[in-house]
Amino acid sequence: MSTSGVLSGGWEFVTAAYVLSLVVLSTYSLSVVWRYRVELRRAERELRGPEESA
Amino acid sequence: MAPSVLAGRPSGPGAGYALLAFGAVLLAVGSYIGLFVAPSESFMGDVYRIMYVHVPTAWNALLAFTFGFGSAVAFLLKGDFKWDARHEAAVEMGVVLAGLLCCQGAIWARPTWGVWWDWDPRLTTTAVMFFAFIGILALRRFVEDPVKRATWSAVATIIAYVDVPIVYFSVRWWNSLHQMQSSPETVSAPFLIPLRTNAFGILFLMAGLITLRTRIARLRLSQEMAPPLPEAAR
Repeated sequence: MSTSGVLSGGWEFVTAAYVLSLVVLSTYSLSVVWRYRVELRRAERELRGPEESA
Repeated sequence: MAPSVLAGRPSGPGAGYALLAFGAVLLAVGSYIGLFVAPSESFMGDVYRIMYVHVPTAWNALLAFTFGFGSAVAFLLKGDFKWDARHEAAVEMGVVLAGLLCCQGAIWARPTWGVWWDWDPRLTTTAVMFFAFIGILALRRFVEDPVKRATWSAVATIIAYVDVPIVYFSVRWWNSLHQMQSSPETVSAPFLIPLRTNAFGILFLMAGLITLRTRIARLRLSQEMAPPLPEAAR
């Protein structure tokens, strides 16, 4: 690391921040979409009634 | 309080998916410009490029908690469970963004401050905000009665929200390692385009996720509050 007060390099930190953001946001997005579909299927089953779902 | 979870229909999931897709595209474009097109910064070199995800994450985390606070107040005033569902969705989104914010900040702090973490006013108040809202999500999980859950968590959100303006103003009120808020006057023009594109990208992504997450909460509430099946139907 330079002593001039000017940073050089550091792309590994930049990459880590972007990859982390991508992983967190895409994992949460997928989990919301998945949970929504699960709840929707359950609600549709209940709407059809216990006889049909059995 | 008259539960009105079944009153009114939420908008279709199409709006949520469209916002999510639009946000993802904006975020991809903004990140590309921020990483490969925007010039380096005079002192921080390329490390400053973390700003293009860190700052929009911070803005939107505070916005999510503000929406959660507004929804909590609306629920307490109106007793309408659609506000409780929005409250749950916004707080969960805020917690995800605040957690991500702390990690991005630590990654940026290491090369610029020489440490991953410091008990600096901005960092400390942000950590307090993150854990306070995690506590509210935990509270919602442990309370089974929907009315008590909605009321208690709404009150807890109003109390926890006191920390949100403290987070924002902490860099002005106390000596902080963290820099002051940036504005268009203090940020050079070439840096503004990726910053704003990513800010809107995360905003649309967040709006889509809150829309879908609200629908999940409403579907669960409908199930919890549905009258029990008659004996013959079991």
